[in-house]
Formats: sequence, structure tokens, C-alpha cells
Amino acid sequence: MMYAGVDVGSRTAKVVILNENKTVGSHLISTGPDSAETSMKVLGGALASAGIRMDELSGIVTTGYGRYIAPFPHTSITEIACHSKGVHLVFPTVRTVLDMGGQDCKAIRLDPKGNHTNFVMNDKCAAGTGRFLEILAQSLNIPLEEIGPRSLKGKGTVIISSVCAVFAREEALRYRRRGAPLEDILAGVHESVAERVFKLVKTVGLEKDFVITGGIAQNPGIVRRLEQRAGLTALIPPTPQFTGALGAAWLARESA
Amino acid sequence: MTMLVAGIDTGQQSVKAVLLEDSEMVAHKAYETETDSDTAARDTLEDLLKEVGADRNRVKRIAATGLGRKEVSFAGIRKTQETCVARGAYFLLGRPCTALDAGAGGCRAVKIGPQGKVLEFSSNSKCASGTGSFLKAACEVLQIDLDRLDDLAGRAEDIAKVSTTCAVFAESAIISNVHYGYTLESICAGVCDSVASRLMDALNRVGIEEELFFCGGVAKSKTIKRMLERLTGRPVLVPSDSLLTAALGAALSAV
Repeated sequence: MMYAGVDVGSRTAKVVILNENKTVGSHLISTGPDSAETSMKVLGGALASAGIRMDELSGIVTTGYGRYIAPFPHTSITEIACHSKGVHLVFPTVRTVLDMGGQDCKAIRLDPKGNHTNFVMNDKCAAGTGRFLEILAQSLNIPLEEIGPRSLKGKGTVIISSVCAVFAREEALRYRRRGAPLEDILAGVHESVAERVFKLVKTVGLEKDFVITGGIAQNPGIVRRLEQRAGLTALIPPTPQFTGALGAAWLARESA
Repeated sequence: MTMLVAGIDTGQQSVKAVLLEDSEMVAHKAYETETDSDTAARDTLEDLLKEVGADRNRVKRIAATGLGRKEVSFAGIRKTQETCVARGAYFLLGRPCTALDAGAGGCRAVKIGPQGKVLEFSSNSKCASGTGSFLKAACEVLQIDLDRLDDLAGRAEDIAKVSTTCAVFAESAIISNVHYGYTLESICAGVCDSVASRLMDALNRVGIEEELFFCGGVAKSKTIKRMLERLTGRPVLVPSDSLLTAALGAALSAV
């Protein structure tokens, strides 16, 4: 039997397709302005990658901010539940999860069975999210995938004091005009994001093992700085952006 | 020869300066902040002095306000934005009022009592919503300038709402609104509505008494002014040069 997990996030949409307990297809696209259209498109891509048709699916679970408006039969489950499930499947020993997405950021505590016992979330503003880093990369004119590695080469001379992404952009550009090296500015930007999200981790309580998921888990500038603060090596899933979709697909299978 | 006093307001986007002679405004200027606040403030003041043909020695006292006031090394007096807005607004209006000041880097509501005293205030400089930076970000997404945004918003028949909590999220909401086929007019009205409702939050925290005085760069928007009039149910007064109120207030505190 086959199941799909559809995670329509604010910036990207992800799908994982399971054949019983094996992943047989996946797909990721940027979220367009119409969430319903996006969910159809990303599911279509994943079905193609698995080489199956829609009517071969025995269940679909949707999650993420666009979960309610998917134009196909589905069950909607919260991101927290799907994420917890996805993490537990990959790393059963994990107790603390930090998920850093495109427009939100959440810290989750898990019990030994992988159930979430506590969580905190910022989805009200772009501070400490992928969008914050995207905006800064854009205005400094550096490809997104380069900002993390380059931030690790910077000295700690630039301090970005604004939590707001819009004001932080102004601050970064002011440093740039004064001739501060890009690496130093990037170091300041990454320090500020790491500081902000680590507060969320401390709020739910840090306990081994510690995992980072979501798109930002691919940014070593953030991961290194969080590891320093935590005094722990973070676990990173092989495909950190698919954690929620994987959990959703498993929950579809469990509820069938 | 009479002495002059200067008030300098160093904001996120621009530096504003006012020169007073016997409590009369003799010159004023607003400059974009290109460099650091200290250099920008110095350049603005020097330009002003050149304009009136006065020597630096004629300036008796200099007061600085605004986000960058601590950076202005040559200012002998430093005052908060709230204090200066209150003084400036009271001077211009001549009676107690509630002032709403919204610039690029923040917004604040100040309840002003007799003699221009600050009775109560609520301010935000941590988040771009309700500020000129929010309007600027929206303009960039829509690829229009501020005047056009204001003009289009004024002609809208309905409002395409956007988030009032985060300027960045509002950008995505604006793009979705374009996609859903809202008119450019109603999308622009949505942007102004977002700023107006965030400003209302600040106003409601201090309460509006008497008249409402609206200043700062955002007060140049006629649509936001009208929205505030509708939301508060009272006339909103905008000074002729809304950018200069705090700089004027600073200069008055140097008299």
C-alpha cells in the first residue's frame, strides 16, 4: 500500500511517498502564491518520481501552513505532530528538535516514544527564519548557499542588533557602506539568528540528542553556532527539508 | 548678533536639522543618511549654516534626537524622540494634543499635556510594521514609488488585507493578492490599512485626547491620514513639513 505526506510550507512544498515503510518517491518545489495549486504540483512531481498514479495512493496526510486547502482528499495534521514523527523515525534517540523553516521556527521536546511533550514557535514574524537569511543574502548580493560557509570566515566585529529582518537589512547595508568585509557582516547576521533561535531551544529545554531540521539545517554557519551554544553536536537528517513530509506519510500509513 | 540654536534628528533613513533664531525657524533641511549618523548630522548642519551665511561660532547650543542621537558627537544636549515630538507638536499647534510620529525606523504615540509635556507614550522601534520601512518594502514588491502607492490606495474601492504583524510576511501576502487578481488600487489600500491599524495599536495604548497630530515621513501619506481619521473619528492634523517636527522640538530644547 502506498501513502503520501504533503508538507506545504510558506517557502517550499515537499512530498514523500511511502510504499509501506520504504520511501519510493519525493519532490520539492518553491511555494507559489496559490497554495492549492502548489500542493497539486508538488504531489504530481512526487507521483511521477515514484512512477505511480494518484489513485494508487491509499492515504494522504497534509501538513504545513497550506495544509487545509489541498484540492484532493486528505487528512490534515499539525506540523508539530508530523515533525515529531519524522524526526523519531530517522533518529529514535532524539529528545530536542529545532526546526528552522522558511517563515517559522519551532523548538520541540520529545519523549522516548517520539511524542511531543512541549513546543514553542515563532510564526508571527520573520526573525530567526529562513526568510531572514534569504533577505540578507539578497541585499548583500550573495547566493543563499554561500552565506553560511562564508559567515564562518568572518570576525566578530559586526553586531546586528535588530531582531526585525527589515531593520537588520538596513543595519547590514550600513555596515557595507562603511566598508565592513562581507564575511564579518555575514558572521554578525548568523550570530543574531543563532542567538534568537537558541532562546527557543532553551525555552523547551535542551536534552540529548539534539536534531536540527528544515532548510536552515543545510547552513553550516547557523548549525556550527548553535552547536557552540548547545555544547552538543547536532544531528542532521540526510534530507532535513523532508522531515515533516516523511512524518506525514507515516501518519497516513498508521491511520490507514 | 543674535545667537542660533540647532536641533538635529538622526533617523534611520534621513537626518533632519532645524536652526532657530529667537524661536523663529530660519533654516531646515532633510538629508538621506548615507554614512554614519555623526557624519550625516555634521554635513547637514554645515549645509544649513552655509544657507543662512552663519558661522559655527554663532550656534549657541546643539540638541540631538532620533535613533542615532548618541552618535552625534558634537551635540551638547540629547533628548528622546518622544520629548522632541511633544515639544515640536505643541509649538506648532499651541495646545495639548496626541501626537503620532511614524518614520522609517519606528513609530510612537505621545500624549502631550500643557507646555508640551509628555504625559504618556508608546513606541516601537523593534519591528518594521507601522513604519516607513514597511511602506518602502511594499513599494519594492509592487515596483512603484511611495507617492504612487498613496495615490492608488486613495482611489481604491476595497481593501486587499495584508498581515499587520510582519513587513516581510506582508511582502508574500502582497504577491498572493496580486496573484488572486485584486486591483493594484486595493492592494495599495491594503498596505496603507496595515500601517494605519498598527498605528492605531500605538494610539490606543496611550488614548487619544483632543486633537490628533500626525508627523514623520509616513504622515506624507494622505491615504493613511484619511484612514486614521476614519478609525479615530476625529480630524488628523499634519504639519506642512511633517519630517521636521522632532528636529524642531530638539532645537526648542536648546533655546
